[in-house]
Amino acid sequence: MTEEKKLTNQEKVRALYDVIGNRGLYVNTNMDVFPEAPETIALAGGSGYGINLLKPGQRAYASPLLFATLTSLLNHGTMLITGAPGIGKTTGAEFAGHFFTGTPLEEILASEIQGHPQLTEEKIVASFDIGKLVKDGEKVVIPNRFLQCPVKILDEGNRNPPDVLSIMMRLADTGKAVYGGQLLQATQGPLFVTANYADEGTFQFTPPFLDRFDVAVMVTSPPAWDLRKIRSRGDEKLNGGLETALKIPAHLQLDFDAIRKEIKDIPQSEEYGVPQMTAFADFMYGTLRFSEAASSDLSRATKGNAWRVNQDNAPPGHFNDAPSTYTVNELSVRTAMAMPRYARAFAWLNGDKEVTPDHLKAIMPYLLWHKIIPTQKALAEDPHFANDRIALVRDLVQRVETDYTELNGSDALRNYATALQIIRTRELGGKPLSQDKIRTITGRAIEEIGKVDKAYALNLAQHVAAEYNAKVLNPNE
Amino acid sequence: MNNQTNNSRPLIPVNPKGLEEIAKALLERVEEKKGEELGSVDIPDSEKENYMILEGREHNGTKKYEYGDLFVSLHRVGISPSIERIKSSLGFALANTAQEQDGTHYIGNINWSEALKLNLRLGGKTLNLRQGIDFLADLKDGAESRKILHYASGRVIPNHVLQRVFNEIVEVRNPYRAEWFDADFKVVNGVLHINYDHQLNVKGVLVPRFSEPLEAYLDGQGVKVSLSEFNRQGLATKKNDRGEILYWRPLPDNKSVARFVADSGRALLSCVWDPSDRNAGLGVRQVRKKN
Repeated sequence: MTEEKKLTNQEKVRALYDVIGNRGLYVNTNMDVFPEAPETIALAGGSGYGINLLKPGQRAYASPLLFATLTSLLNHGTMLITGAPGIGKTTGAEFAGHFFTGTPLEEILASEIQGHPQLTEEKIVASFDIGKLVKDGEKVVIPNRFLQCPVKILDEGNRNPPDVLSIMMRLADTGKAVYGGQLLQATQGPLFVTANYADEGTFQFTPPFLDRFDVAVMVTSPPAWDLRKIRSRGDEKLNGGLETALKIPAHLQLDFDAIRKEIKDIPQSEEYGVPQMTAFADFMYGTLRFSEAASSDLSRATKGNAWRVNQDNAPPGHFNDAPSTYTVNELSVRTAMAMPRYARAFAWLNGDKEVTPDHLKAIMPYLLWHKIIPTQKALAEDPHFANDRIALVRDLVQRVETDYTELNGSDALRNYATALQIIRTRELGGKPLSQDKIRTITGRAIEEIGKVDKAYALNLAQHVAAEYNAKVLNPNE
Repeated sequence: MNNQTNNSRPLIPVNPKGLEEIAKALLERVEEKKGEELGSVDIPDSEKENYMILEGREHNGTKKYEYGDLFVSLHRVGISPSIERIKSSLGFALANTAQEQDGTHYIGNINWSEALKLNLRLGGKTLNLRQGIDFLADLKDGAESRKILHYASGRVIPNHVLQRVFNEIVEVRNPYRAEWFDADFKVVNGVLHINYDHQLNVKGVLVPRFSEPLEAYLDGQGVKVSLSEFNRQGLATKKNDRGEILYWRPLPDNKSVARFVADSGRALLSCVWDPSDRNAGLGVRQVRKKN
């Protein structure tokens, strides 16, 4: 008898990922996430349509299944699934939740909440033990199945009124809920919320609610050639259950703690000692944060402070073509934390030894599209952006990347790095520098950076000043 | 109470080599004459001697065409760290496929639109025809000591360097070398136009900043012309048997772009080249605006 090769956690997850597709549980060859840019062939005489072809050895993923997988593997991951009705939004989440958390499908279905305008707190969070309440007058809280199930699915979430959504907001954010004055901890696991596009029976998700979702996907209907494979799994309405298809092979049981540790420990590629992926994430965050409309004082010139006059109704500013002019809002700290988390998980799933900016760029549209509000300028430049927010974010990432590349080759960056090095080491040529000299170098470096007429230069100058001032306040640190 | 950061490290990667020299220069205010007259904030010091200053100028015709000072690369674009950073998002493959005579490797096998997009994504642009002719004419004048030309650093470029760059482009010899120009010819309302100074729109499609009917030009095919006899759009105006290069006029076929090619049989400025063409020796030169 031959000894069976023991699979790594990564291999097991990838095998489960393939199982879902091979068994026809989630079939969609509409691949839209590429760790590396594929070759693109133009169609229709250069009309802008193109077709992607993979290079040998390259991988590609369908975003709904990819992000349902990653979200299931992370602690309290949250995912919004949007799209037209009847194309498998909820089913995809149910299957991914089952395979990647090991929770029986029956349990997921039993705890799933169907959104509707009369949904109450009791149906989501908990209720009092009626027997004890009537008999002894004692208020004993019984958490309901939704809270206790590792896979939480709120179907048609936008049919719920705002008070229900605010409970969900807290749950998505902290994994906690309150009922009858008692703080309840939800069982660890992913939260999936599905939403059809708006109709007369839906409420609008507010920006703070949308910001709670780490990731969002637009599920598209499968192409016609995928229907054969979907039919081949059998029609459960004609011939019964899915028991066989849903069986998780014994050798593919997952160790979630070990998986999360592996994801957490995957190293970042570095250049000159700086981790590249988080560098790009922070540059993106810093770029979109800036708002000329908010204030002429740089300490308050952020989109979060543009509460009366924003990018859309402000008179033209100085940096009218900067990437920041394409969004009304900025990225939250929550988003800044989610970006490296998902980039790590994606690199891990893709089988890469380190996480790079390319991993982040590949998934960034799905981390941001539901949160970013495009400006009128962005919509005027391409009306498709009103529907296709993924394309909007891709375009935005490219604009930010162009600034990043330009900055990389610039003297402004070297002046910036020089000032920071002097502030940090307080020496030059191995000899200590006086405070006066540090001030001179810092001031002149800021002057040089200030000659660059770009919004990103403001950010660099501010960083230098912040570090210098911190040292003045605390010279011994 | 101070809750400031201890993050006095750069947000993005920077090569620490040379930072001490910058600190000394900042302290002593000896700033290598950069910026104010001859330098640029866009080109790192270490690369400034890879670029030549092409002085801005005016060309007159039915209307005026003028441009400001430019930094023109003395080599065709090769693989570099800047390209490594963006290549995964370009949507086309890049590799060094050819070598200049001084051993510098450059990227070939790129079609016309890929060449222009590459330069734009790098924060630069591609020479338009008029600028390309001015560049060649300056190289020739500089090599023959009729003009003093400077690197982007401000230092004078030696004649032999100018001669080498000129020969790299126009000398009739093997191997095959070629480079694209930012010039596309299209028929608009029955009139042949030149489109140039392309930019990328939001969909990543190249769109010209200028689209103009062609001004009077030489209707020649493979005829000799002089670099001093070109119109404001960069098209030859006269046949000249003592000229430095051959010239092929544009065609109204809606698939003609410009490039310069030299090999063992010719040195030709062709305005009828198919934009989809690729060749290992066919690359592009980068130009940056002097701020």
